[in-house]
Amino acid sequence: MRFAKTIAVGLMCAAVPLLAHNVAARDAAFLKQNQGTQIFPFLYLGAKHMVTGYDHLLFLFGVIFFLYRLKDVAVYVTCFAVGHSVTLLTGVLSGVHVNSFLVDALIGLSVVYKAFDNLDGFRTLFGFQPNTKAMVLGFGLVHGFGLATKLQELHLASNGLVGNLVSFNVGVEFGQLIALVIILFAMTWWRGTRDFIKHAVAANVIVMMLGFLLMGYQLTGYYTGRAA
Amino acid sequence: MTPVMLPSRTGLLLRLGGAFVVAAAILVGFVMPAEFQIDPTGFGKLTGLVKMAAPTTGVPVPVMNTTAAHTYSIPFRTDDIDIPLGKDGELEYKVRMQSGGTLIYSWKCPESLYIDFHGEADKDPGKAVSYTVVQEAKEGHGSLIAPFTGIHGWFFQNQTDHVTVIHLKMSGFYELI
Repeated sequence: MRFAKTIAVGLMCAAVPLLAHNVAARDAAFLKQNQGTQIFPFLYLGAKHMVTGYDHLLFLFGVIFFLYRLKDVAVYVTCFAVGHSVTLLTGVLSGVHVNSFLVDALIGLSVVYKAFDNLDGFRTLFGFQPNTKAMVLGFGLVHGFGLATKLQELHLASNGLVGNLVSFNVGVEFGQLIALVIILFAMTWWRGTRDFIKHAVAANVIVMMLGFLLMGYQLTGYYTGRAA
Repeated sequence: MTPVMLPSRTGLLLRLGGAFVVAAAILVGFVMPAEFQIDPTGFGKLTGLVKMAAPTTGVPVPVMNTTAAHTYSIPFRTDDIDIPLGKDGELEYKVRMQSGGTLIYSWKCPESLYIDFHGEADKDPGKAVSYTVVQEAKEGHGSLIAPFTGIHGWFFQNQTDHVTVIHLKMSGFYELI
């Protein structure tokens, strides 16, 4: 089923140039002009950020690539959710500012890492396997800093901040769940096809390439000092 | 772990290197010219990709006659305004202007502010167009020729936890709202 692979990969490639990975300018203007706790707008923004955030989605795709049992999916996705929630909440509340280009470059690295791990690269090259759950949790922390920097760019008022932040975080989890359901459906179907075994390696090499590309893109942004 | 035929050591290294090289090629050939106007290979110039990253003015320049002198249907006015701002407070101050209308201004504040000078066209309500954004400043002086008929002004956000007052002086062809 060459078709299946073409669709899955095509979807991911199409997402890259189309989606601006920032909270859109119009949303930012709305937030600026509205003070106090805004539960649903922030819930929506969080979900939108996740569903349109191709870097988070690529990582998630890598994480569940070889997870066949729903229970495993739940465990790993929980690790990821705990990781990014911790840094999102503490990052914004403590006012820690991390350079968003460097964080996004690290997120790109997490994508490379996971694809490499899926290819069993650590055992093949270095003869050991890092704890996968711990790594997903660790990279979850990095993704959370990425989410935090995007919220901080909005210059949120301290008025109602905690409520808005929690709403955003819950929205992120909703968005992740929506994305996960779609990815899982596609993966289940793809795994059922005869040639999945052949395509699995190629797919992870492509994901690894996209991770490298994300890293290069963000590092270029960092060195030129301007957003694309 | 999986029923997949995983690559050997050599195969893995080849794929890792291949992924890196392809990513680097796309980055240098396409992304850097199109997004950052960096074109080490000349491929961006050849394909016109570099033009995509050329800085845009962002705001349309108003259509006006080319004479140096301009006339307006309303007299100019001058206003001195004190805008109180609470700790961590934020506020929009805007005036109404016709397309081509001129405004000159100076504002000062004892505390640091984040400023977004922007406008909203009548025909495009809700869509703010930013003229300048300043992350932190205690004063600002400038002018605006309104690119469209609508409301134009500042979003001020207090960056400190002190109550403060912004002193704003304006002159030009506008109406207070």
